[in-house]
Amino acid sequence: MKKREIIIIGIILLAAVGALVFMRLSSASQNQLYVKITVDGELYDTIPLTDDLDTEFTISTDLGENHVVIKNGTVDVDWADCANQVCVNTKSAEYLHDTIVCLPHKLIVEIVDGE
Amino acid sequence: MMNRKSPRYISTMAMLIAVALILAYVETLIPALPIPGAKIGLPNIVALLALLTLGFADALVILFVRAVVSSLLFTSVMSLAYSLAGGILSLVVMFLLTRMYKKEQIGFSVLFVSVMGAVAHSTGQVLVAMFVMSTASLLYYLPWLVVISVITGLFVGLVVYFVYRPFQRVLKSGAR
Repeated sequence: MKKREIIIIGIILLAAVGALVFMRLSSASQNQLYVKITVDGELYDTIPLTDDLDTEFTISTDLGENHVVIKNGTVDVDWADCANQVCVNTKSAEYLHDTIVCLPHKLIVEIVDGE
Repeated sequence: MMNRKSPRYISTMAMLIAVALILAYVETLIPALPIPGAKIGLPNIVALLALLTLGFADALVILFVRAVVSSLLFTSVMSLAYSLAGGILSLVVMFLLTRMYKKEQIGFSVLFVSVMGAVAHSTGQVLVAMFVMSTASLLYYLPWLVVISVITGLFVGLVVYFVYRPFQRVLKSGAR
């Protein structure tokens, strides 16, 4: 591998890591965080994320079901009837821009700030 | 370039598609990487190998058949769109990059080609997912996928580096 090629890979890695660090730093803002749930491009629900909120519910659509648990200021999808179980294996969302996706059910659970 | 009607060509293509399918299956058995949805991309070994030895058109045929059959056998038909978008973008990027080298002398640069292909693969899939789910928020997912792509791309490239010459010899041996 030539030096130039290593440098290009290094720049790509640096950009990606930089974006991750930037995302985490910008999540340190004091704004109220919300759990935003989107199904098939349409807003399903927005829930203020607070440390003392303790709830769980099932999102049921034509495409399938996902079970969402919110507690201790984190959101998790702990059960779904989809084929690939990617959303279940995703670790719980806690910080701004953390996202849990279920592609088969066109479901997105993401953390946004107060806008 | 082999004669496309020769049994040799047909059996080579069949073998590469079979190997790609087996690798796609093996990949479903490997527990998930730390990044959800990310895969090692083992079938890309075949894609890159085919690209180097047979050329772009044949590599595209192998990719297409593998993606269709493996989505029917191992995953859902829904995943075909993601698989094809990532695969084709990756193949195009790797094709353009390999044109910069004399193929016999590509050496370790195959790792670079592989990494760029892996990054293109992830990017393509995220773009399709953003389109299907009609949301931009999946973009936040991309940096994670890029980091893991660099690692898996290096692995795939290393495998191709070691397999390329022996495979080239097999292809040429006894060829008329």
